Amino acid sequence: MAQQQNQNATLNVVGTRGPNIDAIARVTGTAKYTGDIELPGMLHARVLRSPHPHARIVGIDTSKAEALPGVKAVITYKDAPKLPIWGSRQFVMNDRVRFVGEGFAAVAATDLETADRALRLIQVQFEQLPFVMDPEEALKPGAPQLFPDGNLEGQARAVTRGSVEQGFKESDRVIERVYRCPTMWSGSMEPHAAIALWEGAKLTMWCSAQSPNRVHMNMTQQFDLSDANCRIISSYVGGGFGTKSAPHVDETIAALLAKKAGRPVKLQYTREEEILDSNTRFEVKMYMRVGVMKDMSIRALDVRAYINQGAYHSRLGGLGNHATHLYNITHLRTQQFRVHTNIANTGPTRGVGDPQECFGLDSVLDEIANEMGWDPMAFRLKNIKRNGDPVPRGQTGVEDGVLINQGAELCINQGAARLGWNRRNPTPGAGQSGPKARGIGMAVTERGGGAGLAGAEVKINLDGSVVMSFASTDIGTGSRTTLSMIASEVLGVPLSKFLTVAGDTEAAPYDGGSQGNRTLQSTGRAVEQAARDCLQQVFAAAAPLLKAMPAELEMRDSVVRVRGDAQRMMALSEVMSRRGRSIVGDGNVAGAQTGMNVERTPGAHFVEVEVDRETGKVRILKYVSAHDVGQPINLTIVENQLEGGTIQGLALTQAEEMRFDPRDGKCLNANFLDLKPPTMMDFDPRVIDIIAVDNKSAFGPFGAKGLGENPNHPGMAAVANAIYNATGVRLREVPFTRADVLQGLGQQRPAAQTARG
Amino acid sequence: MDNFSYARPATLRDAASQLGREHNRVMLIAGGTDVLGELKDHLREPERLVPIRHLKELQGIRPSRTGLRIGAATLLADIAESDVIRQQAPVLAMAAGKVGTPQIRNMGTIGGNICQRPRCWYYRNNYPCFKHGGNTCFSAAGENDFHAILEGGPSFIVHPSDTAPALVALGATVRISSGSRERSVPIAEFFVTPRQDARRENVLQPNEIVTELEVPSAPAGSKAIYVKEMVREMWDFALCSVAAMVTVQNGVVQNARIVLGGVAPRPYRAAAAETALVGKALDEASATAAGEAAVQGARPLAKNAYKVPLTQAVVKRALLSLA
Amino acid sequence: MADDDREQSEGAVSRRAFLKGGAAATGALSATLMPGVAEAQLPLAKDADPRLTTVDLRVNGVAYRKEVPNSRTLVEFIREDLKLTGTKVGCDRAMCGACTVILNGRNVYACSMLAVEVSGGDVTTIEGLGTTDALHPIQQAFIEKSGFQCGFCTSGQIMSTKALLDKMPRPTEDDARLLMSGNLCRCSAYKRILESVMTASRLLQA
Repeated sequence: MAQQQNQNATLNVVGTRGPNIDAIARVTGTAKYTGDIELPGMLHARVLRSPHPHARIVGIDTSKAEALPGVKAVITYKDAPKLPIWGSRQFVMNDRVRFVGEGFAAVAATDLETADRALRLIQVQFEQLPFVMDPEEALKPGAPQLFPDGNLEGQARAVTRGSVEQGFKESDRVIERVYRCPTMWSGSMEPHAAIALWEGAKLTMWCSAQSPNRVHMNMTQQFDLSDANCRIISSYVGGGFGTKSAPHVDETIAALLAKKAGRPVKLQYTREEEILDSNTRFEVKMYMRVGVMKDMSIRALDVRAYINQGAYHSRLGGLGNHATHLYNITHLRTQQFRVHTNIANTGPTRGVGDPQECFGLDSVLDEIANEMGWDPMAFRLKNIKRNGDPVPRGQTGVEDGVLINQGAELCINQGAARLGWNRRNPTPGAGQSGPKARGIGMAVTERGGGAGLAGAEVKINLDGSVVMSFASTDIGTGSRTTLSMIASEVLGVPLSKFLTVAGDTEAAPYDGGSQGNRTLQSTGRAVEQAARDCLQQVFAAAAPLLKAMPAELEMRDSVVRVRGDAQRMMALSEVMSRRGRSIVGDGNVAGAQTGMNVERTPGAHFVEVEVDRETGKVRILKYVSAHDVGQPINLTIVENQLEGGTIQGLALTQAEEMRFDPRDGKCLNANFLDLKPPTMMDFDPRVIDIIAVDNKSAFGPFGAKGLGENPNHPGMAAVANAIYNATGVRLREVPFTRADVLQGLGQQRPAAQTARG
Repeated sequence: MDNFSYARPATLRDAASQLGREHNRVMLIAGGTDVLGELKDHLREPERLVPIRHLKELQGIRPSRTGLRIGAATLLADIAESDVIRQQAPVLAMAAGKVGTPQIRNMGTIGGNICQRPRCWYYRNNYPCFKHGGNTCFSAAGENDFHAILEGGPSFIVHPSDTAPALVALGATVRISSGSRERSVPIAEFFVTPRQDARRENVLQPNEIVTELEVPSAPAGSKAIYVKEMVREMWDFALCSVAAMVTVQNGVVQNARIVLGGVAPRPYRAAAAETALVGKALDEASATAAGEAAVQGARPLAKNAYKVPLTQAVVKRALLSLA
Repeated sequence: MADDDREQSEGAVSRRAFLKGGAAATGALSATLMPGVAEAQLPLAKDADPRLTTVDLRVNGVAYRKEVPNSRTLVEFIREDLKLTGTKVGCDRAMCGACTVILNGRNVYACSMLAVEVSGGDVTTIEGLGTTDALHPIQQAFIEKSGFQCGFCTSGQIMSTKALLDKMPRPTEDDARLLMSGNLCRCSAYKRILESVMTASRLLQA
């Protein structure tokens, strides 16, 4: 471990290790997730879903379901507001269904079994419509149309810098390759769940959301509520990874049913529903053309990507910013066609398109480096952006900012040293004997962070204990702990005095939520601000008691002291009880990054694989994840995030593809046994090695950077590059199945074993 | 899951008397790991479940004249960890240890393991295929990565059991009871090809219960291994598995049993591979030849040709590990 | 909560409040049985409705007797009838491990066993292990090593750790990986879960 001593002697809490402050609740089963909550008189809901990928509902009869004893409310698309869900084109229910699994009616009953039976009593007549599943097919003339304005979602986002055609003419070598990441499952252990309670005009909703305020916005729109009449609570959330970052239909369905029934309603998704209908990781097909000069510089890059958004997409999908923000490229063009098709909903997953872009870009860079006989790492180092390089401030590709605090080179060099990059076989696939071939690969990633609005409130009670409220959530990222550590550091109050209220829109100021590497930097700065606000109030209250000026005071271990005077001090609890009123501080920030300076969060992964050339099995022998983490707030949490994110990224090399039958559009493997997320046996956790590169941020609290998404990105590219290095077989589609590896080897050596009957 | 009638029978005879004349209206439940999934997914909607795991007649691992008698309700975990099975029929213990997870092995029984239904995702998604009474196998022109390369058609399911190939290799006998009548079926004849019966995977009648497996002791001096290739390292059904048992005397293979799982609609006895091996020294050349012979006649579908070289390699390595 | 508003329809579910410790007869339960195999007491279907059965179960040392639909799974019995919500449902198909509990000494998936099948058995859930005031050493180990992220799989991970260490007090890391392989962690905190298991083994030896 690259653990460093706390270099800043003034820090007492930040940069240490330690368990999560909510650990006891999580290991004793007392943490209440949405599904664990039960309200008096609560009903249970089930949703009726389309068996067709594209159809119009021409008739629906719910009378038999309504007559079933125990059924308290039945709703259909006729009862649903004709408003899109926030950030999406989808209505909560509609008479037009666009993917297998889209809900169009729902039942609330006294128990789930009754609700299930009622669903089967609803009679529906569909008019089936032609459907399309492939994004390129969907753009062809005559393709089935999902929406009146076509299948292309708005304008394809385009970045143009220089002229790629000219750049390719100038290049010494140009290659074009196609890469594909299919639609992949990206959910969490806890399926979506929502409980709706109406008290008069007021809606209170418990739900499993990353961004309670986005759900809040959706609910106030759907039901025309005032902000005050809507409260969203997501206290304990069993993982999110992006699938819960936007409002989803389940919350509105629960609220509609609860309103109709006049009783609280719980809608708990089953695993199958969660897989079919929860904004999963989107398919991307990437046409990558790259041109290089003999001096190893990248002259031109042209990226044409088809993004399969599925029927609907929670906010707009796309690739990441690797092409524009990670490498210096003279001539650059990226086109991203966001296409609607009749497969399941998709959304961002641990990086909006970052893992997919990383797979395409870092594969094609590896390919051209190998063709040119260059060391792929030297090639990266030649072209990566460094401090002072021009970089886009936004996502346009216009390099209008200046890069600062960039740790990419640190990550590459430290990762390479840890793995032993110098052991790499310079001639891929050569010199291997026996069935098992070893190889080394790498990939680089980056992402921004800390965007959007954030808020927090810190309250000091009369006994000196602290309650911290924020409306972003702790989805397993440890933010209750790290945010408390930030406040603890500012205040000089030990962590043991803290209690957090997370994910409650009524208790805390507006906050964009927990996604996009943003919570630690944005909510963190709001927390820092709120804590400083409190501290000033504490000093103002203590100053007369200690006969000192507020500016002379400091607080450590919950004791207010006059700086330089060992005699004059007073416990915080005493200050507070004498004050007789609690102290409330609040913090509200807008986007951590301002000005010309641009800060990114890079990382580099290195892997050694062993490819069994007879069975096609790929085994990870050693894996190094080196990430720029800014100032670590809690090293234990940093490492846990990086380790877990790395394995989750490796999972995409092994399985997790959602398979749809082209004949009827159904997902065939919507269960864990067939999607095959990794067990503890799959990637030996002991071979995952983490390097947390301490590289302080100019923007984050105490120099922290958000890092949750990045470890998920480079696995596919790093492993593909290592498989190539081991065998000479280039895999351009994930996951890397036995069939892919064996077929690749078979094509390489036509005489080998490809017996067919 | 829809509700059903349920009463614990006191004896095997009582249990059998609850069974009807057609499959699926009344179903047996032993470990339940497969049956409950089928009920929850509405693949089958029985009126009644007949629990049998508690029946005394189905318990225990006992010595017999030729080897062991294993009650059908014996837990897979107990088989995997049984000293006597490890000694007398090690390939069965190995295979049982490869089933699912520790939890699954703590729940599932050997009888249930050999009677489990296919994992074909068309079957599991309730497509009207042969297994559901229809006349189509949707995998044939569909997503068939995990389907049969041998003995396929008209259905292309693969038999999912791990213990079944081991039991075939051992030459086990299945004891079956209808309460009033008992019969014994050699395990190789217990399983059926789709051409024999595309609806079912075995010869069990609706009113019959597997009560016991008679497992002959592995031949003296024999060595055996069960190898299972999966997508995951664990908690997966076989892409291809092999139960191999060989007896070598004076450096020459006297006797070989090679049975494949995960590649055919029933445990597949690779007779050609056995023939290729007997009379030879067990070495790289003979193991390779046996691997090639094992997939003789393989007819892969559009997406599962990889299973051919995979099976060759797995058979070869399994055999070499016994050398 | 009041149950008076819950209708009972033909063949539908009765969810009467559970009778805590109300069943004297459960004293005869044996803890040495195989999972679900009750020799002492075989619950008999009621004459009135063959789709309901009285289930006797000892959970965390407390005996419960309750009439439930035959289709009631063990995890529904635990979560909904006994209100012990520490045990989670992640897939309801024996494919994730979040519902893992210990039944008669063995870890099992509570989502894929019927309550009627395990009647007469002895169940331990996460609530039976330790409390917030008196943590079990395994829970201490999971805190010390941060063996979780979102926590949704954690109850199941801890129950499998308990079953593992009861059976094998000093596992190697490879043993632990094998025996923990029936519990998915989507956050993939596997490295720290493995460290937690090994630490728990040491704490229990101490």
